[in-house]
Amino acid sequence: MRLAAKVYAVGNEKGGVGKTTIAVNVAAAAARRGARVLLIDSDATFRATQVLGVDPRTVPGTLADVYLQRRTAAQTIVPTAEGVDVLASGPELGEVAGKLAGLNYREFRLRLVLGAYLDECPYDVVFIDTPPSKGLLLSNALQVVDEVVCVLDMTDDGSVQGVVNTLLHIREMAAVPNAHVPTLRVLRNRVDERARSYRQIMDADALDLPGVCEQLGIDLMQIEIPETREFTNAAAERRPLVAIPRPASNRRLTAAVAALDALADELCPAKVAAA
Amino acid sequence: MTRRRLSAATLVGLEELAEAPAATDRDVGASVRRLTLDGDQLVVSLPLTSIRPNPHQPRRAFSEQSLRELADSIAEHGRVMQPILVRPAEPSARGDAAGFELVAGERRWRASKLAGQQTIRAIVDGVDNALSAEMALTENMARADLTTKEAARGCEALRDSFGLSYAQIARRVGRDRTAISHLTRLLQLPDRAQALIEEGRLSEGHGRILLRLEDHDARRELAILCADRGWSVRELERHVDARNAPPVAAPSSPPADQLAALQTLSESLEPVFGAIGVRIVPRRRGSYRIALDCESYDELAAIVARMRALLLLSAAEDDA
Repeated sequence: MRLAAKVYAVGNEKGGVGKTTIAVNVAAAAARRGARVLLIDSDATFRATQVLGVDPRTVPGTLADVYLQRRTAAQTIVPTAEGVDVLASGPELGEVAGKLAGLNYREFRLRLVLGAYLDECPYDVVFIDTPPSKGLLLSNALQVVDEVVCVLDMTDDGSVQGVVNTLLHIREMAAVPNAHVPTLRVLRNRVDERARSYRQIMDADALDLPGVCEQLGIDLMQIEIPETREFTNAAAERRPLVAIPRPASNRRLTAAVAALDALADELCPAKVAAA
Repeated sequence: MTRRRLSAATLVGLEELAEAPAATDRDVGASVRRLTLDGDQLVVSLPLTSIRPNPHQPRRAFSEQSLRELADSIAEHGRVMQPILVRPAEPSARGDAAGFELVAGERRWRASKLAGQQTIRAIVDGVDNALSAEMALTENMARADLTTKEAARGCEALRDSFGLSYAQIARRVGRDRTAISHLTRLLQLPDRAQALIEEGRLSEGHGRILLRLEDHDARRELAILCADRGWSVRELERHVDARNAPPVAAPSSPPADQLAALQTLSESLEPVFGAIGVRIVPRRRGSYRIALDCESYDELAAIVARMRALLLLSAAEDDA
């Protein structure tokens, strides 16, 4: 029996911590390493869709159509030039969140329309980019994922509270009968030892990050994503960083790509030789 | 100037989270995402291995044949027609994976395993312990194919584990209180007699009659005899009553002339005790008892005073 796809949400209820950048880049890195990858864009600002070179105005449908059962996931997913398939987002996704609010089992709507597909989909790994706020789009995404990769921006101390808020959200949902309770791991992003804010977050006297994670029973990932302008440059070109030709001389860029590759390896289940 | 630095103390909600981490899907052993709506109920597919039987399930006997039939039907349709009801299990002290505990549907769960299924359709509920046992019992009693002993055990579990009275149990399972107390009393029968009832060779009515015997061995002996000879409840009752009759013949009552004399004797005491009733009662083996019935303490005190006076009087007479 084939292993079911591993499904991750890339999240943090704090915005601007690099969720979309990490989601798109780890998806592209995994695809370049031979994995079959799906990215579901569940953020109504459809940034991940765009960075993968897809125009939400020209796709046959978006996640909003899947939510409203106007299309199935299989009819809506499109391939991209980066080797990652995408279930695109579009502006109408924002309105869907409003419509969900009036439904029964409103946190379970994505699982109802997508759960069976994810159990049997032809992918090794699925990443869901989530919106930076506690809302129904996030609650629904949490119901279909195995794990949440919570992105911690090491230059933004507000993102630590974002991790705690995300955990509180998961805890709240755990009380709902039938709710899935995903595990959570923390990924340090924008690691720059020279930055003053970074030292503050890592200062054991102020906040003992490994200690806090242990106390909360969550995994603090060893892999760290380094800070580099190249992420911004790549996003401006609407391409994942890993897809951009890189001069070996750019050590920060090389380090960033190596970290993304390592992350892809860790998140993508070992591929078993086909029987 | 104090520096407002980020610290654990500045994080809102941290203590709340640290107190009791929520069990995750990984702990629960369920990672199936498929979810459907059955009418207005959410139905999930759970791995059969993530489910364990309800420890308070009163039902112990499952007929091999009916399990087999259900398994065939499940194999044919690829699923159970009616989802089972489970609830998240408390992690056990032995550290087993928590998973889910059956509330209702042990037969469907077993048959699914027999049918070689990996998952089963289930509705996950958040009912508490007492309610879970109660629901299993109520559901089973409603189906009426629960054996007497299973029903009795279930009632006893409700009483012992959850402190419900027979009246409360009766109300919840929709039977009357006497039926429930009769049912649980049957558990006092010897194992052999309980087994005969379970096998249907004796009825609950037979069981109740057997309980009239004080002696455990006698209960067992008569249960076996009764089953072997196919006695009706009435016939058994006759045999039980015969056993319960005192082993020795009743004390021979005094001869009629003596009884008449007793009447005269007690009447002759009336001048002594006045209005207070004096009775001379024959006892076993030719002995007698004189009984003085006092209605109150005052009467008793009056009698004692009177007897003392009589004693003093007769002593004075002797001295004279």
